Amino acid sequence: MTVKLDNVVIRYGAHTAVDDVSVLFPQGAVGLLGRNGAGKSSILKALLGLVRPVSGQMQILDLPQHATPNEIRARIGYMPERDCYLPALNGFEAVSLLGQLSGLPAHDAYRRAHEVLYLVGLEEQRYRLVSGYSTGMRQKVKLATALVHDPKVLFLDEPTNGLDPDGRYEMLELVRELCRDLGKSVILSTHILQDVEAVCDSVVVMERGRVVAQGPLAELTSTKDRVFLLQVEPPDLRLPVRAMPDLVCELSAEGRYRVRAGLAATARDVFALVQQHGGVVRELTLYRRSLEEVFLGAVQAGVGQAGVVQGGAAAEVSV
Amino acid sequence: MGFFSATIEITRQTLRQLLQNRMCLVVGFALVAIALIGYLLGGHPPRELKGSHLYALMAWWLLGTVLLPWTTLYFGVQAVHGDIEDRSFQYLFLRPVSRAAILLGKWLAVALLCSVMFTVGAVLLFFAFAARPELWPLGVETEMAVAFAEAMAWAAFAYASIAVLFAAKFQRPLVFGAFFIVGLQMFIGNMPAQAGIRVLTITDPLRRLLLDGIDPDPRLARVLWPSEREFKPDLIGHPLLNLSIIIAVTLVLALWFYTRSEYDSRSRE
Repeated sequence: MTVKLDNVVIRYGAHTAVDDVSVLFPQGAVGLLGRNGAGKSSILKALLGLVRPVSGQMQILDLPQHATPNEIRARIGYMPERDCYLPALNGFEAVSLLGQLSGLPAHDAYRRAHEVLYLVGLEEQRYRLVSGYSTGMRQKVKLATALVHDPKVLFLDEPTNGLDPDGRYEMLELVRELCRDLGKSVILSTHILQDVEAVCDSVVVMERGRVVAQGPLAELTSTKDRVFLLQVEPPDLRLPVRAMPDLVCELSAEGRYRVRAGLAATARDVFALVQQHGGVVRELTLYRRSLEEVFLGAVQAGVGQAGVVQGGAAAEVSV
Repeated sequence: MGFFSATIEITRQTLRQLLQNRMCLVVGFALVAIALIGYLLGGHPPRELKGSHLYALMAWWLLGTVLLPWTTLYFGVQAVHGDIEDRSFQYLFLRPVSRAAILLGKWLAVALLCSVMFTVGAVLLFFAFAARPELWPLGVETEMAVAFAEAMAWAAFAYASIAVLFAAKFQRPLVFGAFFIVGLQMFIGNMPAQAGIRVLTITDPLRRLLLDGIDPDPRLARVLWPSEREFKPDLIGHPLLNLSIIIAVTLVLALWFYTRSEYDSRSRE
């Protein structure tokens, strides 16, 4: 377990931003999803110690957030959403300064600054003033400052904000590398579902200050029945709706069949069915729900009721 | 990184940041221009004022009452509130360093920069008048330069602590700063000695510190304290103690607000 929240409530005056949330963020990359105002930034700020919850407990790497802020800060890195940077410093100075403030001796901080700037792809521009960087370079230097002290957990708030497609791809590739090769745990707060799909193993979906879904991505996107997407040749071949007891075929508007397979049916049965009707299978894929469907379903289910879509046994959520 | 080394590092970085601020250059030019005006004025002294009177008049009213407070307030607000405005404070607050060390580092940087600038400015202005021996019938009074340099240094530290307090507490620190300088400093600070409310200002102990340092004749005393027609040495009291109390109290308050405020909370936005 990387991060744990127990009955956390965050209020800004009369407005409740996070309402009695309990959630576990497992190791690996976790996407924190939600629409604007859902409460994901508030959770991040509370975990970072920038906002104090009204009630509840938070733990990061088994350390209580409130009691050991400095120990936690030495173990976490944060990449803020907003375009902010330390003025009057070049990339190398900014990163090495924050390394020193994180407790590294000056020499080690310089070495680490060079390393992380190389890692994020800013080795050529490291001696330029950060204020003169492009948006993509600023995002990278923000990631470098989050990484300089070699934290175990990274909080990335909208890391692809303002990036062009190439920059976005590079950033996501970097985040993937951090998880896969360097073993970092990443909590990625975003409202861009494709970013989460590209990087994360599991997700936490928030709506109106509550967690409405959480679990491994693979489990959340899987369906109860197996559903195949089938394309046949010739395209005008018509299959019966219930050709076999465990196979239900529905023709979609795009001319493809959605074949719902019961427990006894297999892909082999689908091939046989098509062959029986004088056609051949051109494409057969197992259908998975997209994250967008999961997200919209969870958000709609969560509005007005206290329910959580759970994605697996590991998910331990109560709202 | 320990508390002390973090403070020094923040001081170093803040100084560097402030030195790149265009305002630094503007104030530098203003100090040179004031010295130049002083030199030109010394050639045609109004109402047969002596060099010490002219110097006190310009150093106190231009540097000590106007330029130094505004400059220090501006730099203090830039150093502390600038981070809050552009959210770069998050980089600092998320390091395992005490917020108190961050604020003290910034305060020290502002105070050091302004004290050096205005001490040099006061000495420069003194040389501008000292270059005209005819203004000093009893010889050039170098103790005036020393007294003013000391007063400028103390003033910079005191105004820097006010600036960081306002920057840490208020969302519009310059507005409150303007109220403080115009309302408290210029109005209340120049009240007669009987007005106890003067102790809330920096002007008052600074003026007494100067008067203590320069052993003024009645006319020079009135230049510095127009509301006090008959200056008596027992009015001086303990200016350094008063200034130290002001600095300590405002710094403690600033630290209190800075370490406890949730600058990222939506209600503040």
